[in-house]
Amino acid sequence: MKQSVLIVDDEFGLADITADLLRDAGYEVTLAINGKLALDALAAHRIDLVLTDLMMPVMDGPELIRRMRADPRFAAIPAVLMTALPEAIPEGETALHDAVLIKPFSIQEVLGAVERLLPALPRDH
Amino acid sequence: MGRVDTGVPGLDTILNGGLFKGGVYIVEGPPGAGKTILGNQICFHRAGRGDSTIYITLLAESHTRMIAHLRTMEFFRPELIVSSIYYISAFKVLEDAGLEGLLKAIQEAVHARRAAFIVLDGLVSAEEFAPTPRAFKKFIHELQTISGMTGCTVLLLSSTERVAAFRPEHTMVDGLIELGETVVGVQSLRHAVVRKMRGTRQLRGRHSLEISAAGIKLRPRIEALLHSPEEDDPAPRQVGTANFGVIGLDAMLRGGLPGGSTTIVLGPSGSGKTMLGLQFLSAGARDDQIGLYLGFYERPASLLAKGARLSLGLEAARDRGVLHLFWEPPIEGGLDAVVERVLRAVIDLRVTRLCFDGLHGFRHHAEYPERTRAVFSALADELARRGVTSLFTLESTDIVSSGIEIPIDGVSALADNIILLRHVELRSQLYRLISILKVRDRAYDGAIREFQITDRGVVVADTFDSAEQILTGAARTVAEPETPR
Repeated sequence: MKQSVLIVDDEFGLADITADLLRDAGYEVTLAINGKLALDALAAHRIDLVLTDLMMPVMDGPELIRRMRADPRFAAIPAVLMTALPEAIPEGETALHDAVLIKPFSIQEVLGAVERLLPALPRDH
Repeated sequence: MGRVDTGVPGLDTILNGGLFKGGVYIVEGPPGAGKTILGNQICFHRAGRGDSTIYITLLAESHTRMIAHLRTMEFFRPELIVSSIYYISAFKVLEDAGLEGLLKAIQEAVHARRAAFIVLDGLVSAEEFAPTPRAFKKFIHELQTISGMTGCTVLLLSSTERVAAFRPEHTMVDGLIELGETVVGVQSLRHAVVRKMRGTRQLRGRHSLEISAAGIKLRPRIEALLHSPEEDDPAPRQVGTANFGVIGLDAMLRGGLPGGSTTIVLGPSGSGKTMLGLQFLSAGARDDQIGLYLGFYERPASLLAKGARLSLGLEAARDRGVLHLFWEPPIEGGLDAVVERVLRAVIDLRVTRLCFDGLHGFRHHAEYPERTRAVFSALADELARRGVTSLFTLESTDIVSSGIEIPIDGVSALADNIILLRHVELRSQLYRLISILKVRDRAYDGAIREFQITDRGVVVADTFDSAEQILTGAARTVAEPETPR
């Protein structure tokens, strides 16, 4: 079974490209355009890792991660914040996410972050 | 209705106080006109004032790229982002759920963040997703309903090549600001026009727009701005007589120029216009009247050296703070920038005498030379209103001519006084002559006199009556010539 990544971003250009990249690398990818839809996706699919944008309509990335950490079903899923503005990450949120990807990020940076947080499981079988 | 100031230099003046709270405004223009910078600049300003703002893009362009560019702008303050400025992309919402979905998303975002100001970047995308023109109009109408109910001011950024074209949404919104660019000669000039502004009297016409690291700055068209005086502005002041400190000339003027009046000194190159202007400022400085020289060609150091040769005491006057020398090399920014600088100096430095040297150089600053007369008129009025006695030099085209030609149409009628400097050829030698063509509402001596520049300054001699047709510049001896003094 493939490892599964949920990408949450209201900017679909970047999200689509990142999804293609991860699929090519052997991951299964699900997309959501805000935190609320991401929670629905988490409930509906098996997700191993969440990559989420910071600012989104309806529910933003930090709120999504807060809700994940508060829900025993998702609390252990690693989460990566993606942002062009690392200085805009609200104070006190640092402990809730596992990594930050600063946009624009390179292929190596996104693959490196995903591989670091999902090292143990095989991607393909 | 309350006003929402934009913080964009010049824009609130043009809008006569800013946008209206809860209003919906379109900013349109071609790509690169500055719409995105303008939208962001206002967001940062409003955020700095404590407003919650949202920047919504309907474009496929990524926020990442936009923010990377914004980082170079001085108004960019990352600490305001998320807390007070929120960037969201609604392109996917628009693609998936159409205009209804977009409206819902906007409504939710405004509600969730208690937004007071939003920018919707990419109105063209919304129009493209509208199934019919009617649906698009309905979208604008519903957006107005949201803004009206929440008091949230909305700026719609629309990229269009057809800036002057009428569009149905223009009739619906509260204001329409057009940004554009025009190539004049080799210059590319940005501008802004407020085509519509409900509920207030905006400054009409084309205002110049600059984009720098500081963001967008608008220069209100000075003739429009100055012709809209505030009610509490001081009335024109009469400030006596402004002499030249030149016995002969002051005698011709019955003591000097009327205080607060506007004078044109007309003459060809080398006739002594600049010297007469410096003499005028020097005389004022002796009485502690603060003078400002503004020139387009000679640098202050060169002028001070000239002044020293003529014993005008310019350097000492400058050191005492009663003389200020400004040099305005040709720059992009045009007439409005020059006038703004003059008026700022007049106010800040409490200038009472101005030598504007010269109007011909000023015309070279003009993106649209036909504006020169109107701008001169507005500037002269404003200076008079502030009690400044101003002297504008203007170069005539011919060194020795048989006629009097004023090279900028209409300025002579606007000036209170005109002093004419001429070269006259006599026995293969050029002499300088001075005469007064006009002094408004005051008697003067209209005789022609010789004018000399000496190491004691400007000297005006007795009436020069030895040659014929002197004023036409065609003097020829008819018998034994009188020896020039």
